[in-house]
Order: sequence, then C-alpha cells, then structure tokens
Amino acid sequence: MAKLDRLGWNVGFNFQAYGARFGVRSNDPELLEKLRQKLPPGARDDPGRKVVDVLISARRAPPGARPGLRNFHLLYLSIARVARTTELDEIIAGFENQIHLLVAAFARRCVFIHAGCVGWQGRTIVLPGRTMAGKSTLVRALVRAGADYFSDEYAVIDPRGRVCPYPKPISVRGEPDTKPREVTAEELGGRAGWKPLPLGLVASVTYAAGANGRLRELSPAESVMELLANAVAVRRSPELTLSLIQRATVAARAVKGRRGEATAMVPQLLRRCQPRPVKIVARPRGGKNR
Amino acid sequence: MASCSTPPETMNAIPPQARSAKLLIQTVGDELVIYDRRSLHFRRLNRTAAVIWRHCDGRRSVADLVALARAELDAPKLPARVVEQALAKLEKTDLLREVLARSRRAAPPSRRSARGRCLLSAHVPVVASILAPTPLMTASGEVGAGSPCETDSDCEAATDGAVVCVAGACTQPD
Repeated sequence: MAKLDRLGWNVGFNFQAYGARFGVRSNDPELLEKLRQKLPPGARDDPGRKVVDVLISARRAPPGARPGLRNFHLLYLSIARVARTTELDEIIAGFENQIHLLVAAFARRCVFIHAGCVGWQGRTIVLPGRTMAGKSTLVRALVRAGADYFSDEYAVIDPRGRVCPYPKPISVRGEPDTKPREVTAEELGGRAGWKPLPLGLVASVTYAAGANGRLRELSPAESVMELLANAVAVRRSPELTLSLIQRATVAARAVKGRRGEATAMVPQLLRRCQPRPVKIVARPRGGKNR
Repeated sequence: MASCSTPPETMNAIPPQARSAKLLIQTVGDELVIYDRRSLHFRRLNRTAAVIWRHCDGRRSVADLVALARAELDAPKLPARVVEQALAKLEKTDLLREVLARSRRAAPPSRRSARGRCLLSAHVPVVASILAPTPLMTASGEVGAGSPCETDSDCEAATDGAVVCVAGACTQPD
C-alpha cells in the first residue's frame, strides 16, 4: 500500500452506501467526477471518515510522454489492481462493475441477495438466482405487466425484514459478444419502487427452452435455503444473514421450477404473491400478561 | 425376516449425540436450518430429521429415538428404518458428535404393505445441503481482480486470472 500511496493522489472523497464505507481518490479531478456519477444507489457523502472498508484509487495516465511509449490508466481496489488500460472508459466501467458487489459484500445491518425484485400490490416478488438464470428478462416482463421495479441485481433485506429497492438501471443483453445496454423502468413503460415492502413471494425460476412452467411450492425452510444460496455476504455475516432472511420469509410464499417464455410465467407469479397464513398460537387463559 | 418395527443390530450401539460446536441453528417452521462454520455448509433438516436430531443427547438409544419419533410425529407405526436413515444422513453431514459404532449396511427390504410404504414415504428424513457462497460466486457479469475474497480459492472463478487473495481482495500476481 505504501508504494501505491506514493503515486500522487491529490483529490478524493468518502461515501457510504447501506453501511459499507468507501474512499475514492484520484490524481485527476475530472476522472474523480466521472466516478462520482457512477456511485451505487443509496450512496451518500461520508466526509471526515478516517477508516473505510475499501479504498478505490483511479489514476489517469499523464499526457505527452515519449513517442512510442504508452501510458496506462490504472484502477486499484485496496492494493489489488483491477484495470490497467489505455482507455479511460474502461477504468470507469471497471469501477462501476465492482462497486455494486463491494456494497453488497460490505453492507452492515442489511442483507443483499443476488436476485431480481419487483413490487406488486404492497408486497415484493424476489427472484433469486445466479447469472444467466434469466432474472432480468423476468423482471422486465413483470414491470411491463405493471409491477414496480426494485432491482434486477439485488434484493436488499433491511433490519425489519422488508425488501428495499436497489434501482440500478436494468441490464438488457443483446447479441453475444456485445455489452449489455441499460434501460430504466420508465423506458419499459413501468415505474420504480421507492419504499421498502414486505416479502410476498420467493420464486426460484430458471429459464429452460421448452420448459412447461410448472412450479413446486416450497416450505419456509426451503425458501430460506434458496435465498441463502444467493446471499452475497453470508460467509462474512452468517448470523445477520440467517436472521434477516428468516424474518423476511415468515409470511411469504415460495416456489421453484423452470420456465419457458417470461411473459407466460408472469400471471402465475403475480397470482401467487399473496401472504401465506401464519399459524397463530392461542395464549393460555388466566395468569398475568407478559 | 426382519420386522419393520425392530431396529436390526442397533439396540446396543453407542447412543448418538448431536453436535453443537460451531453450529448456528435457526428454527424455521417445523424444520431446522443449520449453518456449519467448520464446513461452510447450510443444512436443512425436515421435520422428521429435526425431531430425531433434537433428541440425540448421547443417552437415548436408537430404540428410544424410535419411540420418541413415533410420539412426536404422531405416527405410532413409524418404521424403525426411518430413524436409521435419519441417523445415517446426520452422520454423513457431520451433525453427530461421534461415528456410530454399528453396521452401515441397510437392513434388507421387508415385505411391507402398501400402507407401510405410504407411512415410510410420508416421513422420509431429509437433510439437504448447500455450500455458503462467496461474494464472487453470487456475482453477475465479469468480476475479477479486486473482488472481495476470504481465501485464494474464492478468486479462482475470476475472469482475468487473479488467483491470490490479499487483504480481502483478489489480486493479480506480479
């Protein structure tokens, strides 16, 4: 780190998001400003903080130099070099790629589940799954059907067990070997959710061409396991993760299965987003109230 | 011919005892979700497996467990085989303290009635497992050097060949 510190950083700022703390520094004010525009949802300035979870260092290569000599722009996360490139846009893209996962990994008090998420009639539908499971496609179909967009990347569970929006733009994959483009919920004809809602349905649904779309109901414990399998910081904070997931799922339904076309799956998911009856235990008669 | 109601070769086995060290246990409905900090696995025990595991106190014999399971699951004709299956699964997933000193060969199948088969399938003990993921395992898209990690193996999935975990971040070797 000492060697990295000597590269000449003259501008910087601190920010935090969901309790995760970051410092960002650069040798170039213009580059720093471009990085500031790529901050994750929920980010706010955190001036005066002396200790952060991750220090991000972005160095713009000096201009000029000798003919035939290439100068590289550099991006570091703590002491790990993430990018070394002659294209400044790649530094900014590298920062944007990493920052969401870092927020999810270092968040305090909240639990990030790698999942798509929408709001529907006062509850949320969470679609946990790894990359290429078809979450973004299903999220877009649900938004077009009238659900509120929460995220196509993370479902964030707060200390009260509610699911919060994490509204980064929706990724749309195009042709192979092309970068995905980003769209907003409004561009899809929908709207973004803005307040935390209780969990209504966990739908672990994977795309498979020709699938019949039959879904199996899961028990509450199976539902917890589906979310744990996609919980970003579960190894770092297993107690918090297990506790908040259990709290979030107490009245939620859960299903699992394979789907074909996303639009065919939408009505089934919206219909199932209803609270599950919770067993009420009668208090014994007489005696003091506790 | 072995009877379903008598556990074969198990009456004199060491009483099984549930492990407690380095386990985080959460009750979810009538099932259990357990995090094993040693193996970094989550285990889900369905109702049958949970009832049996809870009663493994190092003093109760297998016959005692059969009687308790019949009472708590409200299944007076529950085959002893169910408890045997549960103990085998719990042992395999390291949720028992000691290796049970008994034969592991499955009891020969008996000529159960259709009703008996129904009873067995309704109470099949389940111990399902998943590996607790690392942040990199849950990530979308291209994530490489700099990704959060705890061990070097967490970095092996990085797309640009970073293999070393240094200060909590995947780092390219020099």
